[in-house]
Amino acid sequence: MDRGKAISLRVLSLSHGDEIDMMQAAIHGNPDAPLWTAEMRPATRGGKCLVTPTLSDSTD
Amino acid sequence: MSPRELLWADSEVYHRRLEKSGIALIAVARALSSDRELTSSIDESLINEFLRLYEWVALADPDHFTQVWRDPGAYFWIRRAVHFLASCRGEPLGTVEREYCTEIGASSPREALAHHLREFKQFALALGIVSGKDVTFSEPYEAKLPLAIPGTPFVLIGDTRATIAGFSNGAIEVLNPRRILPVSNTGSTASSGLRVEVCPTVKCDNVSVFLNPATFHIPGIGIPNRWTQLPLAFQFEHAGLVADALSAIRRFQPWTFSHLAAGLQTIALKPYDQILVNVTASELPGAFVCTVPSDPYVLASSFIHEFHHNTLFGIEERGRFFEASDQDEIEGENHYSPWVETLRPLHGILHAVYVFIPVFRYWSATAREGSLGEARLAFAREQLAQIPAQLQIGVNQLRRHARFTPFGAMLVDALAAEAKEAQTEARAMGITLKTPVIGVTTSGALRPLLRAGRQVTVGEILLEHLEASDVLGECAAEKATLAAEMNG
Repeated sequence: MDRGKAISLRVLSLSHGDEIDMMQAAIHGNPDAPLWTAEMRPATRGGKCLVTPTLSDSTD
Repeated sequence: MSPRELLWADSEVYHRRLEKSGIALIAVARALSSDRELTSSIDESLINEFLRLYEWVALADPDHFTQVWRDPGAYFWIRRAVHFLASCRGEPLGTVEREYCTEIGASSPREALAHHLREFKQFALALGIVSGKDVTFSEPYEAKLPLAIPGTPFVLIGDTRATIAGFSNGAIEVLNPRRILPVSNTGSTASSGLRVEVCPTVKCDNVSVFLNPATFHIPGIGIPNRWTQLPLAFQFEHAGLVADALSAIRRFQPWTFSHLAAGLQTIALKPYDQILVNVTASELPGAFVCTVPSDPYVLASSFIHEFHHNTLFGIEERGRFFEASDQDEIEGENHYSPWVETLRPLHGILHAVYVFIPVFRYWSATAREGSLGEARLAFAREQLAQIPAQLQIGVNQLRRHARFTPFGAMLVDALAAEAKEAQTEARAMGITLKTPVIGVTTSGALRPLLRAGRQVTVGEILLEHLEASDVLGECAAEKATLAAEMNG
């Protein structure tokens, strides 16, 4: 399975100290630290678009 | 990295999201241990147990930890933990957090955080199972059922709740009354009562995916989830169809297939209903829901569509696409979208433009290959006629109404160029707006849409959609162009 590298919390705590500090600062309300940059949307409706109609099987 | 590489080729996007959720877990643990004032009204024994379990998790073998923490639910958990902690000092609750509070009956961020910290035990339980190590909870874990045990195919199934004391000697120990539930790859032989079942795992080359609806059985996710209670037999029944759809992606869109290997964890299959067809949640990376039965080629296009929502959510972690403005680009349902009946946020339109480009390419590859049967070829041609027109309207809407950051503008310019290329490609294949519309029946069959015995065309239905849904008249120019093309 090509899942990429494993991560370790011990290694991350050494290699990503600045990002951990930034996240902690954000939790504590530092205005220079954004809380979480990614957009959040509970659900993105997808799949078959509405202009493709769902037909009744009785039309088979 | 060029904008196109960033949009389509960067398979590291999934790993970066995983790393970020690991970083956030460390930050949450540090915030909880260093600032007891932040969580002052939360029972100290609860915080201490979380920190004890965190320390145990932090010492785990990286492969075992990664297997568990890569689960879509881990991202959901850690992001809520960050937001609830911030809310304890006054940050406003987001939509997901508000829905979470409503569903669990919490009246304050501290109450929600207390509940949420208890939910961390599911990851400790999973790590015990994955690593074969015993773990005991000081306060038993009250799990709401069904519970997808993170990173594993195991699902704890029963009436409503289970009181879990821990995991030891290869079994989950539950209380009230005390029982031992062995965890094995064959699952429980019982068909009722509290039990551990095993969901299907579908493998296609190096893609391996769980079919597990319980992954979506979490509070606040914003998706109606009654269907998650269906027996796992429904997933087994359609596992072959999922394998066929993955094979179609491998054959017709190998670059997406390689991304599936890196980023896809769980698909949940649901039967047809009138509430939702297919759906992806930004908070469950690597997971989506699809309705079956379906034609396997159409299901493959749904997989490509849904998976690319995941990919774009991952790209969004790199930085904001939209400048702050007086409208809510993320949730404000303000603008016409050629894909849905109701007005949509600009963020939703951006997602639609992004995900339909690979769907167009997929149908183009299937149509060019020349082996499609009559019904599938008709559906492919309908998609090739419809998608470029929708992409152009979507891009126009974004350009008219959105204020992008330099990062967002760069990516939208690349998407706009690809939308143009789709139009050129469809024309080169002789596809026009007079192509018949193909509907999908609830059993997944493909049939032409007829009115008074006459086939309805793509151009007609696009115009009808504009008439009915462009209630603000934002797309009058596109409507005129479409009408002219139809008459040309």
